Formats: sequence, C-alpha cells, structure tokens
Amino acid sequence: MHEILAKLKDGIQEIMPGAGRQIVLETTIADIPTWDSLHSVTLQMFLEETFKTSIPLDLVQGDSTIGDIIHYLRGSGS
Amino acid sequence: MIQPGAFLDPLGILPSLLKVHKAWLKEPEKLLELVMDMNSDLTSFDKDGSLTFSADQSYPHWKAGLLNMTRACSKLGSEFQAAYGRWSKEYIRRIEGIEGRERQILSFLANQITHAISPSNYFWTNPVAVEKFLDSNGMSLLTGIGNLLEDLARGDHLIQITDPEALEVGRDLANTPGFVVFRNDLMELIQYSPTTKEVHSVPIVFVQAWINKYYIVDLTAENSMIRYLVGAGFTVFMISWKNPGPDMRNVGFDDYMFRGALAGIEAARDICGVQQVHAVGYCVGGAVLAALMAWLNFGYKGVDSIPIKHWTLLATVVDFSEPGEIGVYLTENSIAFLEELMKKDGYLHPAYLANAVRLLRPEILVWRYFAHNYLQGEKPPKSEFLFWHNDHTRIPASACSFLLNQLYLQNNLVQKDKIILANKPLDLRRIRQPLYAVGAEQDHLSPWKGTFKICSLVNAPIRYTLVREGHVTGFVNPPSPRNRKKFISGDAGGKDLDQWVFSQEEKQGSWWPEWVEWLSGGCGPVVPAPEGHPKYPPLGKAPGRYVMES
Repeated sequence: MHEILAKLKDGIQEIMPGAGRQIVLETTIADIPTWDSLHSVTLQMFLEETFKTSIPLDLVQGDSTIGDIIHYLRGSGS
Repeated sequence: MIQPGAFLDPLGILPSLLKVHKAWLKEPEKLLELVMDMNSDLTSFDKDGSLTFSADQSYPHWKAGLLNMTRACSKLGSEFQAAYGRWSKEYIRRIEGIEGRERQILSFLANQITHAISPSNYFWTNPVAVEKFLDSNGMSLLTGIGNLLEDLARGDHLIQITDPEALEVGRDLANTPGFVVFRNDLMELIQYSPTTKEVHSVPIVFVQAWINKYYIVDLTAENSMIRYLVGAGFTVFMISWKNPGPDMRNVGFDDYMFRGALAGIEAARDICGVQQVHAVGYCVGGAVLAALMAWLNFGYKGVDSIPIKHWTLLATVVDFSEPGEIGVYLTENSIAFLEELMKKDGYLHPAYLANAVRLLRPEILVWRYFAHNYLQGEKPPKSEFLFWHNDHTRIPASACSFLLNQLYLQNNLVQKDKIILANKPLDLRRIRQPLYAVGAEQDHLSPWKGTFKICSLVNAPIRYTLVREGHVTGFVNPPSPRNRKKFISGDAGGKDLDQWVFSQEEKQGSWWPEWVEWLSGGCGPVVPAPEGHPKYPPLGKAPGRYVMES
C-alpha cells in the first residue's frame, strides 16, 4: 500500500505541481489546489500507464479520495 | 482599428508588460516588499532537508549517485518553480492602475513561463527521464528524439498528446449503430437505430459544435450520451459537419444555421412524420441553435409554426461579455491577424485553435507530453477524451470571422436585432420554447456564468443544471454506481444567478436521468419506432464519411 501511495503522490505532484506533499488517504482529488477535470483525465492516464490496469474516469473525479483509488488499485491486483 | 505592429504582437503582451513595469516603478516601497517576499521564499528552500535521498541499492554506486543528484536538482527546481509562480502572481495581483484585460494577459504569460521552467521539462532535472535513459542504455532518449522528429515532420506544430493508433472512430469511438440518412455539402445527418420497440414521438436532433468533431457525445459504448438516449426510448439524429477545405471559405454562420441545423431538423421531421423536434446544441453548435431559434421566432405565428418544440443547450455561451479564459486571445488585433492568415487558406488551420486551447492548460496539455514523449521516450498514452481533443477540424474563414467578430468581440447575439440573417433580425428575447440548459462549473471554454445568462434572455420556462466538472467531463457523465459527480438543477427562467445557486439543493451522480425525465415529459407519447423513409434511404453506416475527414 505504501508503494502505491508513494507512486500516486509522485504522479499527483507531477500532474498538479501545486499539490504539495501533504496527501493522505482521506484527501479528495478536489482538495488538491489547481485541480480541474482535465487533471482527472490526465491522472486516469497516469494510473493506467503506471499500474497497467484500466481506470474508470469516475474513480478519479473530484469527490474520490486517495484511499478510494488505492483500494481500487489493490483490488485490481496492482 | 488595427494598431501598428499588431501582427508582431497580436495579443498585446508587450504594451501590457511595459505598463505593469511602469506602474511598479511608481511604487518602489511595494516593489521592495515583493522582492523581500521572494527572497524569503528562496532562503526557505530545503529547510526540511528533503533534498537528501537514500541510495537505490539495485544500482551501481555511480548510477545511484547520479540519480540522487538528479532528484535533488529536480526537487530544488520544483521549489524554485513554485516560488517563481507565487512571485509572478503577486507581481501582477498587487499592482494597481492596470486593467482587467492587461492583468489577464500577464497572468497568462506568467503561467506559460511558470510551467515552462518546470524541472521535469529538462533532461538532467527529470529523474524519470534519467532513470529510463540509464535502464535502456540511452535508447529512451533516442526514441524520444524519434518522437520529436515525427511530430516536426507532421508540420502541425503540435505535440502528440494521445496515441493515434490506439483508438479508431467507428470501431472504438462513435460506434452507436445507425445510418447516414441525409447528406449535403456541409453536413451528414445520422439517424441512430432504435433499441426499443417503441419510442417517444418527438425525435431529438443534435446540433454539435462545428469547431471539432461531433462524437464527444458518442465516445465509447460505456459513456455515450447518444446510446443512453436511444436506450431510453428516443429517436436520435446527429448532425456531423464536413471538415471544410479551401472551397468552403465563404461558408458562413448562417449556412451552419440553415443548410446545417435547419436542414437536419426538417429531414428528422419528415422521417418521423412529426411537426416538431427537440433540438440539442453543444458549445458553438448551441450558439447556432440559439440564433436559429431567434430567427424562427421572428414573426411568431403560433406554437406549431416553429419546427422545434423545446430545446437543450449544453456548454453554450450566448452572452460573450465575459468569455472566460479564452478571452485572453480575443482582441481586435488578434482577430485581424487570424483573418489575414485565413485569407490564404480559406479556413482557420486546426493547429491554431488546438494550440490556443492547449496553452490554457500548458502543464497538462503541452509540457507533460514534452517530458513524456521526448525526454522519457514513451509513446503517448491512450485516452478517448484526448483522442477526440486531438481529432481537429478546420473552420471556414467566413464562419470563423463571424464567430470571432459578431459573437466574441462585439457580443451582438444578445443585442436586440443587431444581427440580421436571411432578412430577419435576431433577438433571443423572442424565443418562447422551453429550454433545458446545462453548464459546468470548471468549464474554462464556456464559463458557466456565461451559459446561465440565457436564463434572463429567453421568454420561456427554463431548467438549468450546473455540473461540478469541466467542458467535457461535465457532459460525458453517464450514470454508474461509481459516479459521485455533483450537480444542482432547477427552474431558472428570469432568475438572478446567485439567488438561483443559493436556492438549489446539491445532488450526486449523473444529471442525465433528470434530463431524460424532463425530455420524456415533453417528447410526446410512445409510438412504434420509425422505419426507413423512402425519401431518405440509408447512404451509409454511422458514423458516416465526414467525421473521418482529416
């Protein structure tokens, strides 16, 4: 789980440079400063590339938490 | 009047820059304060010691050292970039005596610089690029150079943001079954095949934007708005615009209204044997539809005299007084510059619009792919959204000029009788047909407050829905157990925006079911699904020919 979180943090930092490092499981995507829906599309592609699994766009929408994403990725065997 | 030197600086960046510098020189104390803030930002770098990284044991000592140095440089660069971003924002925000337009253009410029100096855009400060280079013995960078040369050879000055081979229109996208039932030199009309035995008697006709391809509402089977409507028992027609060439230089906004939208609506009425249809307009297709509604309502002779019973506008601005982020590009000079360019080809080259949109989000639509494709040597990823975004279309010179001058620059669509087309003056206040309008809170191309302004113009019942998402994700919004998108929706005719927002209750999920409920109430009783019409034989399978034109 820590490895997934670390990769996710790196990706979020790369896509949304204003994100800072204070990302925890309860953080929602919309909590990240500068987030907009185009970032969600980019995050979806980042996750698909990094974890080699199909990511529904609904998973990375504003109200999803980092915990939701990790839960999904773990469920998909990543 | 065009200013001298306009074509060298069509956006007027230089005069704005000079003005803000001059304004600062009159405020030396404030400037000193700003510089001190910047210094304090710079001296706080690495206070937490986060520039130290533990060595990766899987690499030889020299490689691990090199990677650590790269990571440290990247971290330091990121801190500098963030400090520069904050400082430049304050430089523009704190100064007094400059206009909103100047502030907007300078913020745009500062944003470009802030994202261009990101360490991830430079090989030695991009740890992922360096690691891939080491792991592949340099092949990643070689592949990246190949990617760069491929992009340059294409000649459109655009970085590839999605894998063009990964998806195919007609197979993976725009694959809702149907037939082209009508074609002229401007558009094809697609009639989707019913999936229910009975359908509502009033068909739905989509008037899509003519500055990109129609299939944003018919991406994949899972998120297609068209498929959803067909499944809910509606007969759906789609206008798919021809990708114009030089021969279409004189095709105007009125052609899109009459030979496009109205011709499609007439054909749909014939095929379904009905007096009226429901029309849906998306983005600038919505502007065409709104203008057509005003035109049809001139000299109103009763409910049945109008071929549109009620209508929907998706992400459509009709009042361009606050055009949002796209406004940064819109000046008399920049429009004259584009018109000069279009004289030669007869159309606006798609790269101009694509670059303009990409530079509004340079970090994710330009620089991310610069690093990914060139420095890391990766193939651009697969994405249906970006595939559509990348599937450009040209815009005829005449229609483009009308859109930029009459709508964006002069805002004439909301002026009473200011625009006269086919001998009728247009006034949106004459429109009497019920409207369902949808805006998206984060839409930077059709700002939702601009889309809401239709509510105080049209003289009919209006339901407005505000979705939390953006220009695309707000509308590609299928119901699903995971969909937690939020929206508000309610009657909005003649209402003040703030008052309306305050009085709505937030809902969660897709707004599509509520729209379908609204449509079902007005689209008549269910009747057997229409069969073919001898006057409109199938001319080919959906998605047709025009959408394939590049």
